[in-house]
Amino acid sequence: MRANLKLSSVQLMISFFVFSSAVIILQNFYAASDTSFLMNLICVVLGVLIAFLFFVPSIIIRSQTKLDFMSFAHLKTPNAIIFTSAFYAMYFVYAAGYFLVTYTEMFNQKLNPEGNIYVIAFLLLSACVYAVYKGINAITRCGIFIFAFSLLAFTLIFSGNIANLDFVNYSFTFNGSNSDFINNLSYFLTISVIAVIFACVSGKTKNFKIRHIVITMAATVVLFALAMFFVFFVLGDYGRQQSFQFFTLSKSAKFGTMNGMDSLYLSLSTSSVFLIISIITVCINKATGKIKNIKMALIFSLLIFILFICARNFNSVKEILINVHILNILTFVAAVLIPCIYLLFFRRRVNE
Amino acid sequence: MNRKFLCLVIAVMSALLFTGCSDSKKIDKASIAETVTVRQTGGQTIYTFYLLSSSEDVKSVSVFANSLESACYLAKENYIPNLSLSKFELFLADEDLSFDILKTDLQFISSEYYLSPLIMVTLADGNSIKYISESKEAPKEVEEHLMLLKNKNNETDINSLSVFNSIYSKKQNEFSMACINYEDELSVSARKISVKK
Repeated sequence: MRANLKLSSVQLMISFFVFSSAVIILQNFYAASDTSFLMNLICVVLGVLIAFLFFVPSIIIRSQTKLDFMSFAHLKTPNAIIFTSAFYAMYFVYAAGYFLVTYTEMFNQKLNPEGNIYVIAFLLLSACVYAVYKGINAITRCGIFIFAFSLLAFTLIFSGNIANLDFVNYSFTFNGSNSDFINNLSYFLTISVIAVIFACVSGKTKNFKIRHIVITMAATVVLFALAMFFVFFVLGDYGRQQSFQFFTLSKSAKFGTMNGMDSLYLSLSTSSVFLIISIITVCINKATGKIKNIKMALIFSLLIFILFICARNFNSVKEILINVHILNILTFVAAVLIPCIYLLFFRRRVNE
Repeated sequence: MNRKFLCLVIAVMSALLFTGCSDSKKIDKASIAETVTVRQTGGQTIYTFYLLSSSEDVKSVSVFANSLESACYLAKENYIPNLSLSKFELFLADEDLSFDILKTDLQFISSEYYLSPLIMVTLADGNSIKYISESKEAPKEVEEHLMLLKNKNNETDINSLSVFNSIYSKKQNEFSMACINYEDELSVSARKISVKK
């Protein structure tokens, strides 16, 4: 495994952007039945803003020590690191399970309801283990290609839907209850998983600047807003009939006699989820402190697969796994609470 | 090098064997419906599926049913076991058809993931439905006419996405839908439809 190479900060941010785009294309905009575009837009801006705040403790550690939080924790608390490592490893297994279940659900519902979903998950995880073997640098370089492809796919899907925009039946209103607001905010906050990833791998980046994160988050808001705008003003009530509205949006894109861009959607979601799970597996290795150990990646991938099997067979496990509130709470603990505790305890000895 | 090659072969083979590609069925052309018409005769609703075929003649299957959903089920059960609607492009409803049936059918179209939101939906008189059943080129002609109408009059809804949204719109009480007529040749016009809220 090539783990000693430094990776460019921009490269990592591009992968974070791909990560966020996967969240938007695999999510359900109609989390609540009667929410309007404007309300969702506020949720997006607020969600991304909170996600940005989740970066702050790791940024402080990174700027003061040139280390990521995980290396910092290994250095400062070598005796208690087992607990921190175990928590982060389990958190990443949970996050990988969340994205794997969401992706396979989409695959099952939209592509092939009769396909063997276990084999798909197994093949995806195998590809991720191979990517982990190649290292974070190779994964994020692959992320650049996925990013280029995603730009092309989004441009085609959005521009192909301009003719379908409907401002007669739908307009810029504001409606939705408090619970709708919290639910939708939680959906958009799931991108904050990248703050935990940043806490694990930022030490390996060179030329890091805070503006890289700001630009990534701003680009994410623009993408989310555009995606929502088209889903609301093209699909309208039609979109409420279906899950994974972005898939339906890709199906309604049209250029002349060419109808439907769903193949682009499926390629993009598959490659993005591959990138997400690969980076998460790298983070698991980093959390265990054995970044060069492929066996560790294999063991944890197997654990993710077992969790996936449980989720497919037991509804209660699935409900826990795809619960955005649980994911966000755990993300808060991993990205903010634990790093803050470390900062508090070692505030005078951060640089030692 | 050999190990890498072996791994690649194993990966490709396992993808083919375990993902179901090995026993995938090639859907017979005669099972793919591109056009569906619905009309009412003697109080009964008849759905006709026009199938893709290489022959010169029009191949179709008609079933009596209350809705498109049950028509699909009955057609699969009794006549075309491998019926596929993934290439479904044109839906013609008799202009005398009860509006509730059209509404139910659009509800079905909107909820099925494999059906495109861009399926063209139009009303049609009895003659044009008869013309569809006789001429293989008729569906293409109808689609061209609908496109021309849309270019001329942008407010007319011609696909399932826009018709569905107009029906369920909270803002409008009426909307415009295309209507195909056939006398000596095909013609298309916009027709106002009132929606009870």
